Amino acid sequence: MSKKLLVLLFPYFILAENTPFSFFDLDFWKYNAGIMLNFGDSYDDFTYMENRMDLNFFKGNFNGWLQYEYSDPPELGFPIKDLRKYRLEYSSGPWSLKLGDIYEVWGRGLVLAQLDDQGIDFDNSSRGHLLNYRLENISVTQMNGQTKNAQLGSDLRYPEFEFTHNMDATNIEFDVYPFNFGLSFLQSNELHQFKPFGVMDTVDVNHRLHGGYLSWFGSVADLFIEYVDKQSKLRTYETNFSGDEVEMVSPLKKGSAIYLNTNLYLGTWSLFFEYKRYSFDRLSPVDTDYIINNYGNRIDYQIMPILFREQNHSFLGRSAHKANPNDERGIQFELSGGLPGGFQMVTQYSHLSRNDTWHSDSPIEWKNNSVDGFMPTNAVSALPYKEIYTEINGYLIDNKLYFKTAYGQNQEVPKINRFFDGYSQTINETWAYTDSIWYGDSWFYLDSQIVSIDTSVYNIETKLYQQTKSFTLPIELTYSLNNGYSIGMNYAYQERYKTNVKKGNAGGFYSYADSAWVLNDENDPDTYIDQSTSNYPGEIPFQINRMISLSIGKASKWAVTLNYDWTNIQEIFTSDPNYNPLEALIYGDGKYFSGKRDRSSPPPFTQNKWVSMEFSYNLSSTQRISFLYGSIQGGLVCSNGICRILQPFNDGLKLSYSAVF
Amino acid sequence: MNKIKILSCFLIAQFALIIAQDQETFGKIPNLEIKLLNGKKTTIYTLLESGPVLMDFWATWCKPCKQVMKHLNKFHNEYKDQGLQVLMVNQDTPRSLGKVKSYINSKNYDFLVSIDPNQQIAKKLNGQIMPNLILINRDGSIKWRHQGYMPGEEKEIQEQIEILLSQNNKN
Repeated sequence: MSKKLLVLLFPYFILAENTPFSFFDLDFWKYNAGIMLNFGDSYDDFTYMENRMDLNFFKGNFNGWLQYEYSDPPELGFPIKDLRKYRLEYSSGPWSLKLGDIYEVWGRGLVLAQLDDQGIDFDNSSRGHLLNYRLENISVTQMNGQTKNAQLGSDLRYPEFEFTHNMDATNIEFDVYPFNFGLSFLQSNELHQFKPFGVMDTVDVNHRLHGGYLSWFGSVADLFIEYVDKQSKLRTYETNFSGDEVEMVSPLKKGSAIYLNTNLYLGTWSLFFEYKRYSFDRLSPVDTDYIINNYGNRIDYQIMPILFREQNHSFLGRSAHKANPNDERGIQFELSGGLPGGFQMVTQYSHLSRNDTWHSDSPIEWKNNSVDGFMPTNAVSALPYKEIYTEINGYLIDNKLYFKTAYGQNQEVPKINRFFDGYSQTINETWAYTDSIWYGDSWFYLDSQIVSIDTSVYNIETKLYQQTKSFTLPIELTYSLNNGYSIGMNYAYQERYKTNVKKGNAGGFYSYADSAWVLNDENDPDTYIDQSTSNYPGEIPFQINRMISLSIGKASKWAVTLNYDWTNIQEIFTSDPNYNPLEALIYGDGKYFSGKRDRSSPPPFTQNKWVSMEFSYNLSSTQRISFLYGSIQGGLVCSNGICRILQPFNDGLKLSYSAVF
Repeated sequence: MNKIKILSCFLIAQFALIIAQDQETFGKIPNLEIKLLNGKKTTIYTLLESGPVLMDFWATWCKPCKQVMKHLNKFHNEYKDQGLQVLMVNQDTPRSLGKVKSYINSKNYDFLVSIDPNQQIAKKLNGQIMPNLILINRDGSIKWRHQGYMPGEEKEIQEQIEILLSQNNKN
């Protein structure tokens, strides 16, 4: 009821002058507000309506925030028609208090980083309170609250699993310039839903994190280092002889993480270096991705550095590595600086891998060996990932032409099914009969014994894994005219390889009766297979992606962008019978406009292509409206001055409006 | 269906209310704490003691944000004698926060840079859409706001700065 009341009163905050209550008087409150409206409807029934309104109000030591959302459904995630977020803050002298939805980041997030990222439908805020005391160089923060994170099941619009965290945390920070030092403690009692044998169940897990971080700020260098230690325990309840329920606590998992970042400054050149070693739960390659039935590892409060480049190009974003925050180590270097002529250059390298190499004694029995030293490895069974990226950008023609050209390349082993390289022994026994009688017309054997055992030792190798690699060449040009108009052209070319690799003298089949891998040829242990086959449908060797966008805009007024995205093979094939008129126009399909198009058998030129046009108009400097018509493959898209992560969208209309006031 | 109609009416009403607002006034900025990239801490009102502040929200992965930064650095240096300071509020999360300082150094930018990894400042000022410019007079009143950036808009930004500085000089 109180939430509904707040929503109904929302316009009165805006029309404050006309309300009879001094509480809503603008002279009493400072305020600001923002509105985002998004609507989309496409032929394949991907329809969404996502609307959010934010209101901040300030008075003296008070500060409040309300966010109302009416999304049925939103572009990503679950429907919500409610007051989504609220917070009231009060500060006086060294004290400050927050009540409601709390977002905190301590250090680089190895213990706590709370974010609201609607682009990927992620929010790990806690609803509760935070108390902070700050005096001179010391700041002490204590907070507690509850966080509910939903996980998707088979229905993309309905949460199937829910993880509830009741947390309390403390942070003490010391500022003695040029040093900053912090100590953090976080405890969370998690109620974790899971499906152990296809039936929903819950477990009660206690997580405890202790961490510390240190920053140093120098004139030619700086340093940041953070460490966290984590323990999780399982709470169960058993009935004793007296019939009383007794709480039992048993250790579940233990892990730690370290992160280091340093920068060296040489004039206008910067050398950036990062190192990480996260080890909360070392799972075999076949178990890694399933977090529902695997609990007690990294929790959602821990949003840690990834150590590969956060790309702003959709092609590079699509082929990016999926980080494993539970078990990954890596390094990243980046050198950036100025070149002659005012140009800028960035070159980056990162290398990641698991902390262990793995070998499969059987398809379900995996054993690990810790990687020596601190650095990541190239060993295939440690799922290595490597990335390089180089970019040059700058201005030409009297600062009117902006250009950016880049080269990005990565390679990875994302998945392993079998990985065994060792010895296997076969045993052939020879038996002889030691006691027999002749009865009737045949011998009957009464006893026997082994007279010889022949053992053969074979070198067995069986490796089945997936390997991916890609390279991307994006080019961007923007030419500004004197009269406020600008013309832009973006082009990108990408090749992606995804291959299934099979190596060894055993093909991946395992005989449980013999407890051994089955040889390719039982009569010839040296029959070795080394083959790589494309993972793309139709054995197409690699995927080619191309994207071109052309734009024209008038500064502060409007912009029009035409996007054309093309691939030779979709990873998930979808037939697109309702191709849009933009696509028909580009390919000169007259039948489309004469009403003679064949809806049941779409022409091949419409497949694997996405064409869209966006028009945006600034109603004022703080209000913007945009219309998009056509199809979008999805991914991170920067268009008309704003970057967003878009969902795949086929032949539809999108409308969005944003305002701040 | 009724719900959709009700919502549509509500949204249209909101839309009309915004249009009807007097866009000349954006109210006053609250006194927010700023954590600078060099490790020092300050507040908005401490910065305003020196003169007006042009605030912008940005991230290392935001392309238009990087394009406008070159012009904002120029304005920072051009108008610093008249008290103007440009404050770039970074929105990178801990995932990529480490690269912020090396990026700023490699570009040789002189403006002030603060970090806001949990978007506390952005949420309080509705600056989640990037770039998002806020021109604040030294008394804390917000004089102008602007969302997004298209090439050529730097002229409008400069105009707004000059209008504010000339008004301040008259007073």
